Amino acid sequence: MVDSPGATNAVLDIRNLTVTFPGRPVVLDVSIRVEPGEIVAVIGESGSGKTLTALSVLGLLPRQARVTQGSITLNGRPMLEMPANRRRDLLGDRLAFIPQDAMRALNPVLTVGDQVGEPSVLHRSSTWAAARRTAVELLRVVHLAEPEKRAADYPHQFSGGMQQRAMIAMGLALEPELLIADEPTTALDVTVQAQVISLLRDIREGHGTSILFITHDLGLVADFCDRVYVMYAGRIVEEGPVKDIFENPRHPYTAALLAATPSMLDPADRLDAIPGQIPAADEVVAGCIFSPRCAHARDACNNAPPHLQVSRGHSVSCWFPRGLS
Amino acid sequence: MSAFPTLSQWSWRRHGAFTGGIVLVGLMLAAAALANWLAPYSPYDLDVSKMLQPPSLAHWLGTDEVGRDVLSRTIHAARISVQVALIAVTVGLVGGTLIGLIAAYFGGLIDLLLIRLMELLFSFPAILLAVVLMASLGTSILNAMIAIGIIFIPGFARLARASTMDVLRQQYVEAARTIGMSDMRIMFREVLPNILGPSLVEAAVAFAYAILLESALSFLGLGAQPPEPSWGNMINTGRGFMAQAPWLGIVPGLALFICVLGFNLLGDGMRDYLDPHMKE
Repeated sequence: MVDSPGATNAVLDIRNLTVTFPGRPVVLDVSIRVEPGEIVAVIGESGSGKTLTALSVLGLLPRQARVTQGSITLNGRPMLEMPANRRRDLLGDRLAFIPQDAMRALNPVLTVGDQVGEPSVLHRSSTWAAARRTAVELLRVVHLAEPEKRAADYPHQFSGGMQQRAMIAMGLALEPELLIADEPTTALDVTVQAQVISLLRDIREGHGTSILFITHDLGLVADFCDRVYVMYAGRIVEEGPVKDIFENPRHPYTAALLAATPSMLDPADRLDAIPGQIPAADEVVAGCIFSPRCAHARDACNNAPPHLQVSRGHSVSCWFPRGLS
Repeated sequence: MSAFPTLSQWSWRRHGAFTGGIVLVGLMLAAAALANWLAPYSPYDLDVSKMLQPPSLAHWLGTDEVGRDVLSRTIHAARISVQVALIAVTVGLVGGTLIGLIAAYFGGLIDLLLIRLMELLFSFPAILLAVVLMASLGTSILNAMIAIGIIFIPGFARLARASTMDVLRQQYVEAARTIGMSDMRIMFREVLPNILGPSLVEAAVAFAYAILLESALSFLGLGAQPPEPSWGNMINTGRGFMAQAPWLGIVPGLALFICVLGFNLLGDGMRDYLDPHMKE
């Protein structure tokens, strides 16, 4: 997508974000937009910088990390320039985050109801009694059986899927403008994964909540998201509507990722693997960051790749995009 | 995270020591609370005609050098010991836990300064520190409470700091930040309830130690002042009559022994009970 300077109506607009650990960039020149009511996926391996990108939006980067460049706006509010206490007021209210491992994200000594009701107490000065009633309603919204009874339970009395539902309920508490879900299904069984995904989809339909969905699971993205950003080693290598990405992947990395996904149609098919490993953060790669592992790399790849618009909304950072060169 | 056993699942055999601790501590607390009704005589009434009588039906545990009933004085002394221990442990628990929590949460220079201060306090032998504090505060039972409390602060601070550092690595603290909680709220709502378990165990053990320290201070004449009965000053008096009237020293000594044993058993039992790793 072409960056047009000036105001947009995007819910989340990350532009040219660079995050560095002392001496080395871990997120480089990343731009991500989420439109109202849109579900956008950020796909990448572990260590590709997708979680750090999300944490920069929340302003909760690890102590050593710094945003050295770029801007982030949430419905026009500049997130990076905002004082810490104002940003804190937005968290859990306008901007909700659903973590990867719900079991460990719930406090073992507090009841689930109290934790789900906490945002109302925190941001709406609601009383605890009212917050508990809200919590029961929210647990009902996320399809938890017997919400009145369950609200008084402690997290360890919940199954993994129920815990993740509770986390989603907590995220939804104040009807946020944007929900950032960081691999919310990784710790769950496949059948429970499907339930959580369909819940997130219902939430988008019901509340118009925009969702930024961070994952390494291509299978989840295909039938759930509207647009996809593919991240590799801290950079966005390809972005586009989910259909284009899956049917016509232009970047060799995206194509390799798709080839490495097991297919239900041909289970006997050998899976392709991508040779090598994601470069270590302090490793310097000249030119295209993927070139050392790329099957199609040529001399030109030793220079920084161009950013090419392939079709409407579909762009790629590559010297030799597949099917075009 | 552990599911605590309910009363019906309580195994008296497995928790035998714990049960013993509860009984001994219960006896001690009952003696302290009901001293006015349990004690057969006033602990202050002198009767020189009855001095140094051996145990008899009238005076079950004999009388002391001025004819006061030893049983009554021992029971009343429990009250002072419990008061001192309660206040001292509260001072230590609250002060130490706050210091440890703040040190670990904010880290850096704050941590360094607080922990160095705690180590400074730690480096003095407890009794010496108590004597120095008493010397500067003046001898009174209230000052004894404060002095003993100050001695406890570093221990609780260290414990709270270690547990806090452990809890801060947990994801639910990070999750609390993502819903916009302030540092203050995270410390007291998310972290504190999770670090309290070990501190309460430590408190039970500290209780025994506080009673011991109070007795030591009273023995040295720095704690409870005569005629106020305290096990410490009773033992000190008894020391001079060991040959003629051994019960004067032995009775408060036994009381002290039983009480310290009780709190130690209680502390051990609580540790096993609260720690899920100790469960089969």
